[in-house]
Amino acid sequence: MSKSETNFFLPHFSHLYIEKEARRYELAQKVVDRLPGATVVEIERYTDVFARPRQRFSEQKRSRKLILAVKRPPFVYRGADVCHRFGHEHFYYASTVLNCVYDCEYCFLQGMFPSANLVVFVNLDDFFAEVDALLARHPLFLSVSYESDLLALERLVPTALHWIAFAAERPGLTLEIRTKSANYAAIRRLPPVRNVVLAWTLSPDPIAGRYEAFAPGLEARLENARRAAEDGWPVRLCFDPVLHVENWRDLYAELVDRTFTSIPADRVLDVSIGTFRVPKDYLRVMRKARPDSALLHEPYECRDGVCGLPAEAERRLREFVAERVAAYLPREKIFV
Amino acid sequence: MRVIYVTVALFAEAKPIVDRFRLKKTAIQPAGKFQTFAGDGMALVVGGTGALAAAVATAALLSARPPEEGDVFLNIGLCGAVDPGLEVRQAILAHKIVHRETGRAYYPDVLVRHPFREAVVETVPRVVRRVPARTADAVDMEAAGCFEAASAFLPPHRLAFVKIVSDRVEVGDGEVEHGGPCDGSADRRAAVGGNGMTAERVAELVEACLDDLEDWLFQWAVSGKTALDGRPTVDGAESRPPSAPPDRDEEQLVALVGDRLRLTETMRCELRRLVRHYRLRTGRLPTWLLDRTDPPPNSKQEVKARFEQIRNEFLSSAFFASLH
Repeated sequence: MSKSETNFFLPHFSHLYIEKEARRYELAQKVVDRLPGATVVEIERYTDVFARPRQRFSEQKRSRKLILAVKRPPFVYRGADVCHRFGHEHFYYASTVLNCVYDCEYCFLQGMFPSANLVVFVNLDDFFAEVDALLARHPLFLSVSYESDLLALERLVPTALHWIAFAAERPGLTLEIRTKSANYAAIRRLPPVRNVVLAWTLSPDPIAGRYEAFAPGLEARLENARRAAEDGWPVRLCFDPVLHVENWRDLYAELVDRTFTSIPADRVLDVSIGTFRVPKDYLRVMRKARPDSALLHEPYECRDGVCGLPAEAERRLREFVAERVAAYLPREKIFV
Repeated sequence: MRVIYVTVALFAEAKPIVDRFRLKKTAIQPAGKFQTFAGDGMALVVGGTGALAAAVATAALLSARPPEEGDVFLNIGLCGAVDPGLEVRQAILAHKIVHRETGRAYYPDVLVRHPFREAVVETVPRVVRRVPARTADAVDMEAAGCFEAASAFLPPHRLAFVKIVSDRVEVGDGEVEHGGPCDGSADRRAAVGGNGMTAERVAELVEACLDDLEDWLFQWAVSGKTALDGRPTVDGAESRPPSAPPDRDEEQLVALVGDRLRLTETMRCELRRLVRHYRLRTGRLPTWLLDRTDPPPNSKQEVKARFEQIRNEFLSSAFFASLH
């Protein structure tokens, strides 16, 4: 945001919308205490604010607001087929936070949610209870950062800490916390947990700079991932999405080499590689919201309701990166 | 030019705004009972008191000239202060509006800095001097109706509700309507909403907040520009991103090529996307398309073949070649 815009728009989280019912939760009180200057507005249901008609994602993201709410069932959802399941039979995801502080041009959230505001569900124990019920039936791979970046928000909304503590006592649960943040320090004091995977999404610097607004640059992400790996956390590296941009071969080759120069390969749990893919309905909304995005206006093909590059092009992108990663990691650790 | 749509309840509220912004009396179509004024970038309607009247007037105003991207809506008027911390003459900006009669709550987005104190405003059906409980910071009679109507035309970050405290409302047992003595005739009382205030006093209260309002209003109105319009700046200067073309050129090209090649609607849609992508990537219009329209196709099969040829030409352009 330019200086004139910064002076013009209210700062992020200038307003805190709180469901009446959410006030009694400890997490809600913590967030309120951490935003002493925020204007607090009491609401009945989070959807009254989050799901209003005719909201403008592109305008709201210049001054995002925070909504504290109580989630109603269900708390845990089956993972989508377009996401990697890393060899786990039972793949689920849970969202204690909706939306992200970053503003990635390709992000599906802008097509999925009607608002750029962030919703924090404060009744974590209800999420935990549902996960326990599933664990009673079978082991579980659970991603908790698909619809947000929990670690990026951890200083304000400490949810990753709670998820990690919960997972530490449940060996049947494999928890993935995916991030683009440089905020590993927020959980660094915790002892590493074997079944909690910290996953960093990595992009070449020119791509991070152009398409991942507000997210840290590559160097900061690598440094955080390296520290986490050194401390003994299982660390996953996600080259996802690999974008079709000018000079993509050079950019991604350099990214892979730089990554494994920073982080010893034997400290990396595994790697995932994916290309841009988004449900057709979301892409329609995203294109409307960003009429100047060449990336979103590429002539994508739609297959089974999901838009992406032509299959052969996708394969070429993925294979190119996988080949490069294979110079550092065994194939069985590369999920394409 | 951006337009600021304004709804007020009373002529006494409109008068200082009409004078300040040099608005002229005008008539909206379809002709209605409302007094309307318009001027440089502003259109104002005097809707009468009550949420229903306000909703009808707002809808009439916004229908007469449907808003475009960047236009904003403002409801300005008087309110009674329930919060004892509010001062008479103080202007507030509503971040939540509760409609007493329906129980519905409305939330205008407050994205830009402003000089007002923010508050919860409850829209009540009649002028009151006592409410049974403090469910809002202030009470008015129009905001909820204005929001309901205006939000059908504009997004919530382009709606603002500025209320000026005219008097205090007590909190106590039972609701009491305002039936106190008025310093004017019955007609005059009705003319200013029945809360015992003179038209002069109403105008004075609105006038007092106009300096703050004017500065903020025109800055706020600048903030609604889309990426295609250019980045919003405080001074109103526009900077068009180099990759953002005017849609019109693309539309004209697609229409021309579509007509000459007799493309189906589906083909035109795809051509529109290809043209847009090409222009975003290269910064140029693919005017070479015009060379591909001569001679015109003679059959449906030829239309299909010619379109496929164009499509392949786009996909084999330098950028896509990098995928092979």
